[in-house]
Amino acid sequence: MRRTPEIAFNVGVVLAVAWIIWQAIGSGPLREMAPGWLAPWVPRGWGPRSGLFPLVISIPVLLLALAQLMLTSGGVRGTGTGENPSVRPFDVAPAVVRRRSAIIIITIVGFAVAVVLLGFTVAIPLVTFLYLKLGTDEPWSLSVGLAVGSGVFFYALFVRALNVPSPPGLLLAPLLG
Amino acid sequence: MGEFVQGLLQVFTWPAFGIMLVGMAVGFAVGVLPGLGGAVTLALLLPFTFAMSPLEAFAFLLGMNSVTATAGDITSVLFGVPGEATTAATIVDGHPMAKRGEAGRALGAALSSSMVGAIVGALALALVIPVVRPVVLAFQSPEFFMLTLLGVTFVAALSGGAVVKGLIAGGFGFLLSLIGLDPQTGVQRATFGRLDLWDGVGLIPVTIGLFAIPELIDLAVRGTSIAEGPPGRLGGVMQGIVDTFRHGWLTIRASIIGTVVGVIPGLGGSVAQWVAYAHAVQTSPDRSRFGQGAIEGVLAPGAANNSKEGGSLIPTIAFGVPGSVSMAILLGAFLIHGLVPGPDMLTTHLTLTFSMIWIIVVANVITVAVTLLFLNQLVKITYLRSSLVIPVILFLVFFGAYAEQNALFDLGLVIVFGALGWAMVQTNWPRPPLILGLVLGSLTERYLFLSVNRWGWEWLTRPGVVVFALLIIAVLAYSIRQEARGRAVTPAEVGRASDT
Repeated sequence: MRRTPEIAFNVGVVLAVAWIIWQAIGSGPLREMAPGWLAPWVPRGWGPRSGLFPLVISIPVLLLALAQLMLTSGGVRGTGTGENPSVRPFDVAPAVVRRRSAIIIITIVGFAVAVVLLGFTVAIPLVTFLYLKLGTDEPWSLSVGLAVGSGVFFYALFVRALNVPSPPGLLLAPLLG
Repeated sequence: MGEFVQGLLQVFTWPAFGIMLVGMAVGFAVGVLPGLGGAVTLALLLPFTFAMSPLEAFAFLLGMNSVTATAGDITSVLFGVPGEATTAATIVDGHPMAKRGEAGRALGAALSSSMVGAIVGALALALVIPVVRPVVLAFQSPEFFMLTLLGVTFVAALSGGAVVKGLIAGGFGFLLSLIGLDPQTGVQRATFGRLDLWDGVGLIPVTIGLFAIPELIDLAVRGTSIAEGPPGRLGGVMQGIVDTFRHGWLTIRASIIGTVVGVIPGLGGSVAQWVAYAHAVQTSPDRSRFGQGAIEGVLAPGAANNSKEGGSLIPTIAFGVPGSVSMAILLGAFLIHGLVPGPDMLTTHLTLTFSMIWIIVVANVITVAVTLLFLNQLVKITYLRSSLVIPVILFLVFFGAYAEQNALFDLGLVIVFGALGWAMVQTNWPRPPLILGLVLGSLTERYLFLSVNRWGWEWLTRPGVVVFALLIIAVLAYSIRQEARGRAVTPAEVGRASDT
């Protein structure tokens, strides 16, 4: 049961590599037969020059991914963690793990969305404040202080001193002209 | 010889020296803080080097990278938490020393042995350059193509007992490098019709996503203060320095071990420290002291951690085959600054190459000197709550990704590759081979293209190519055998452990 995520991930790898092979080889006859709305989704192929390296790499990778899928489905695991021997289990309750995971994932995605909508100059203090106050329940003074400090630091160093282009965001751009 | 001296003088030119000091300060903070790795920070800081000259960029990046292991020893000794994955071995004897009130001695030994290690590693790099140069100059595109495959095979096969997964991840990295317009023919490959992908996926958003996002989630979920206990009494720092020279021969041997392990792509720092530690145990007349606070158990990993940096620069500079994840990212910095690893670095850019060696030495000497002076104050940084560190990392993650090309699209890439990195961690897939594949992908494709164009398929029969092919097979066979043996042994070990 525990292997389900591993199998799902492995299937995803197989499909991604197979897709690359399909794109590289192309499917001329299928493209001819496909209805108009579907035709753009049927690949032309990348030709012998552009397709050489993708095929040289992806065919063995596909075979290895299928072999790994069989190993995983058969319950064979590697002897190691794959890279990091210092990975430690969490020593907090599963409910807390779920809550904190949700908060940090929302914060990460929210930060990206906030930057697109409001720009870095507003998103940095806003997300810093929301994470500290609502996410981790830090005191008001600390949350406000760090939020303002981070915003001022970003604006002074990157926008004013280093002249890094910082777009105002989709929502603020019309207001700022 | 002229280039050797000139390389040193360049390190002290302004603003390169000032930039190196800034990099060292960042590297120190990163090394002390658990959860922030040297490789992740390299990726985060890479975009800030775009406007710098190559010398300034490497002063910044190498200055930062070469002190993380030194600083990581501090957290390992004081709190029993590795500041870096590469400083875990220092805990075994360093932390018991701290608990019994010899924290200063342990830190003095760890820091001074780190300095010796860095100097030995850099000297090895300097000495090896004249030997490596004719070999590199004799190579042509087929040999370089095979070398890139060998590099990925090394990293894939030796990263954590998951050979097949490592190879697939490396191949997947190669395939990621295909995204965008083919430079040879102009054909769009895997762009999904999006203009943002015509230039391919950037190394920075991919690396940040794969490495920083999973660490960020991990740090947030643990939610503890970074250091989990009060430090022991400091003092006896001088005694630790004396110990380094009293056991000078062991420190030198451990440094050489670190350099050799560093040269082999894929083994990396976390292996170097344990090999050096094992050597210290094996050669000691009284093995029972180890694990209880033996000073040799601090000296050996401390030295090996730092000497491996010089060692891993050797294949990176000479062949474009990075010796570790950090070096893979550093290789990205080479390409960003228009430097192609290989013959050019040993001829045209030889002074810069020597400057890199000197940066490692100078950065470590300064760090150790300053650290010894301010040890008491500096450890307080580890008491920062993770909730206060996370917004800072989050800012670095997204602004770092954005700053590479000033493209908001890259923020999406960070999230996509962050999800991929998190899934890889959860399902035990190694990430370093993927990054290496992405970094080397376009070079590998070019070497293949040139080889086939010039020699047809005849290039496969060139002696150098055959030798590399046999090496790849040998590496794979060895790794698969080790993995199979480990799989056979593990259940027995588990049984034994549960009995005790």
